[in-house]
Amino acid sequence: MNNEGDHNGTVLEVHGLTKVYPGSAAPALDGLDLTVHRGEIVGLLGPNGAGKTTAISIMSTLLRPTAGRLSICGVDGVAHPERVRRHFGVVPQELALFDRLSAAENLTYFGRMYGLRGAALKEGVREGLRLAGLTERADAPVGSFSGGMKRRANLAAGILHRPPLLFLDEPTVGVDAQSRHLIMESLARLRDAGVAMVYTTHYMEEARRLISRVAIIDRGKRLDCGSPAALIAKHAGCADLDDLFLRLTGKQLRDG
Amino acid sequence: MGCLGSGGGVYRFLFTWLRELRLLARDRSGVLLLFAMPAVLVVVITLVQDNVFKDQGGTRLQGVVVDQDGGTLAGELVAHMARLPRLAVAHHPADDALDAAAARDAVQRGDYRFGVVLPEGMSAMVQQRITQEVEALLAGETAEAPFPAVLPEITLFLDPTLTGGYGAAITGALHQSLAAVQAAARMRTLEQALNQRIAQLNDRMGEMPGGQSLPVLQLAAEEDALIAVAEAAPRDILPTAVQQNVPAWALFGMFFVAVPLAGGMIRERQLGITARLMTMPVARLTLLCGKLGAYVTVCVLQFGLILMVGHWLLPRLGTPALALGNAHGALALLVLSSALAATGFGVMLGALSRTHEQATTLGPITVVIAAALGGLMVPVFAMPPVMQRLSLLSPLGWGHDAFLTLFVRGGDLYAISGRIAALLLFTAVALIAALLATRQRRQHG
Repeated sequence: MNNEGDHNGTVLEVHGLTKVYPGSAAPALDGLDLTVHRGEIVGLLGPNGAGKTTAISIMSTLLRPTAGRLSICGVDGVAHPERVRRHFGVVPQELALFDRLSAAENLTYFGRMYGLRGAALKEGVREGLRLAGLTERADAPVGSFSGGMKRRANLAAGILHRPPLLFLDEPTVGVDAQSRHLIMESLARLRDAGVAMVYTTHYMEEARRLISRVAIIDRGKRLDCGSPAALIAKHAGCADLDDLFLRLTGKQLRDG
Repeated sequence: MGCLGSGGGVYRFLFTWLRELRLLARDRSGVLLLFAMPAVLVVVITLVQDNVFKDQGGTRLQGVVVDQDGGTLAGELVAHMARLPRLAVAHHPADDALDAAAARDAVQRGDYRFGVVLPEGMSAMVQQRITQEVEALLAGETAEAPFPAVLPEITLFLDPTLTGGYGAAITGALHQSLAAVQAAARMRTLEQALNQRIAQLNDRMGEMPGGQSLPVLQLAAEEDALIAVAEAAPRDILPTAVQQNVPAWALFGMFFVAVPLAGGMIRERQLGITARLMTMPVARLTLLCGKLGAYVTVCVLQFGLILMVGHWLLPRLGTPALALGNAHGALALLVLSSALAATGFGVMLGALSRTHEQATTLGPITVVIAAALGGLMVPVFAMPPVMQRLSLLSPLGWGHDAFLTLFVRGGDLYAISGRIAALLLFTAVALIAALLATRQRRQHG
């Protein structure tokens, strides 16, 4: 893994992360605090418009925060976004792959953009294809893939450079049970290898199986944070994460 | 774990460039659009316009003359018109089946480009007037002589589809023939009248002792021009349809590259590829340069193909070959500047358009308007003054004018340096606009 200096196992640290979009009165993210350690998967749970994607976008240096601090592997991510980018991978909600390139060509290109070359590049691509279960279809154009295969290739593109931190924005949305299972297994293996992850999902069962800690956010604010078991125990009358989620965020529809 | 190269901007640029070319190569319909479309346009439009340009050098316009007069002057007029290099005249005498109405219909149908009807009695009336003029002149009288009140009137029919320049050329040729025939008739009549007077004088002088005789005068009008016109700077290269159209449609094809470029950018944005790349340790400028590099390569290859079409293919189809002038270094710089301007425009289009549909609609329309304004379809000098001023805003116009300067005017790098600077400035402005639009979009999430 590619870490920069000693930071006591803390891979990601954010304090008071705030984002107010131009022309908007209410902040999309309002003072988020979060710490993620090596080998830990932290789930960001929240209804539509809660601020999950904004949080991931800021933490992955795609957006500049209006206020707050971001530290990845001990490096200030707001002041030095270019430096921290080598320390994390991103698996976006969109299938961010070139349709007309094969899976191997996509991974090779993204690997090169991470600065990989030579044997490290070959190994990263080979391992990515294996982890995504796409070795047999490595040379087929991504455009010919099923939704599940594309999701798996999307995951592989984020871990080519073996980052210590991975941001996953609903990585299993719209995939079949088999692909979901393979993705879950792959993420568990990465976690066991020490990779820290920030993970957004709407699937509570998925969160319960995989996630070490949960941060429930709504309207840009963090409502609570802890292990799923601890949170369920803390809020009396909640039988599972679904109950807890609805208790904290309400039952009103969020279509916006 | 992992091996991350440090720096490596050139490495990333190179592989972004290659990736973009690979993507383009796999889009067969896109490649067909980028290469075949301008090549076909050049061939078709050059062949279509070839005769138009040849007309400026001497292709004859077919016409018909209905001679209801049948007199000497009418015959001389038709003979003179037939000798003019721009006209080919079918002469129908008065007893022929073709009358004025039939001639008008034939022109209306497009069988002839023009028709001329010489009215009955024209020769007699003109001759009568000239005789009166000469007699008045010799009698020392002024123009108050009793000339015929009604003058003969020639009727001219023009093909309604003829553009203004051709109509003016036919009318001018007719006036030229009329002037020549009338001048000849005047000289002939004057000569005859003077020789009659000389003969009378010789008779009187012959009756006198030791009398001498005066010689007979010959005043026949000289047809040969006494003053010649010579071009101050003789042209080695004539402005043929090939010289005009090859650079015009090559530029058009280059700027059309903006459409797939913008479409690709929007697609990458919508698929989240742009966002993914922005989270990677690669400078945006590197990614942009890789993309620009690929499309500049396409533009240059495209231009090379069009030049080959102009140089090798078009002559086999009966047109003159494309002449490139002698400033090959300046030509290379101009091609590169034009390619940068075209790709810069594509990047701006991709950044400003919100959807693929917007880019694929706005792009071609903008390119066609810029091409029309820039004089690719109708020369700028033939446009109304307002449009001529607007044409100064078209990058395609700057490029086309610079290519014509090299290909037709025999210009060099110095002669086109202003145009090259304008194209590069346009590229910079387009890229800055794209950057600002991208930044604005990112600020709004």
